[in-house]
Amino acid sequence: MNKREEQDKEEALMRQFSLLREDAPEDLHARIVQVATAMPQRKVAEAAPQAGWTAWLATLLPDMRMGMAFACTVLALVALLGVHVGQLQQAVPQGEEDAAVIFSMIDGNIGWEEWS
Amino acid sequence: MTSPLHTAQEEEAATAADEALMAAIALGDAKAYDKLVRRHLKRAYNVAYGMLYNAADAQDAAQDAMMRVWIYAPTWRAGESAVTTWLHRIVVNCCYDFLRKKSRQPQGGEVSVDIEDMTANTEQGYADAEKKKRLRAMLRSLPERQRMAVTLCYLEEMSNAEAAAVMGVHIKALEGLLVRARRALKPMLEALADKE
Repeated sequence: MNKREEQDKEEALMRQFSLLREDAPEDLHARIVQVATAMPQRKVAEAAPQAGWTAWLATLLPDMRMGMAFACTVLALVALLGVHVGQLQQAVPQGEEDAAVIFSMIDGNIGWEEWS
Repeated sequence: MTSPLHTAQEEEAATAADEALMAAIALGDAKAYDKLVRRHLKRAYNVAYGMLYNAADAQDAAQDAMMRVWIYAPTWRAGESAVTTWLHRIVVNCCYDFLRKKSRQPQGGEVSVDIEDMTANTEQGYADAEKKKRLRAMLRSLPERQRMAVTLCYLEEMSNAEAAAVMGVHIKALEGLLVRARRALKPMLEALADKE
């Protein structure tokens, strides 16, 4: 028996579960309708129509979790940028000093032996 | 696994009818609710019966689910999900709630199971009842999620995509559940077929 036949046989065996389908008891329908329609329905507050940038933002941030994730990502990027800029600012004086030494060497003010 | 009797046109018409009924129910129309219950109660009851093993619990779960349909009808939005998917998801959640409550009850893990109708007076009737009893026992032997997948796909003959939407899982996850369920059930189903 090849794989296809094997699968067909399995499917045929599984389809026997449809024999378990039964009719719901006759009184159940009436009972449900009677009890349920006596209950109050959940009311939904109509959302105010959004316009302009708030509508655009609403499409961008469909729910609160998405908003939080977005805010955290922006915060993390800003923090990383801050750290990077800070490092650059610290590195500038060192770079300037090196450049001054090199220019002094070119000008002959500082000798190679003196510098090294 | 959609029934061949249901053509695409019939399904479209049924979906449109369900949506119209839901819109009316959301406005408190009891007649529309009566119609919707009539259309879907059998399927809801069978899903619950497949999951909960006995008729009394299945009736309670189906009733609970249908009541939630009435209560939450105003929160249903056309286009977000089909009425049948939404309704079956409520039934599935009610079944899980029931099973959770049952597991908390101090019964020593015992679960009440229906005794199938053995009063069938013909030999064929008796054989059918015996077969159903065995099939229910097989279904019961599966873990909850596999049982739900088999109930939706084989007992209710939903498509894999529909069943996955009802269970709130990816279609691949549903297929995985079905593969494991088939593997577990195969020897039992073969033994049942050999007996016949």
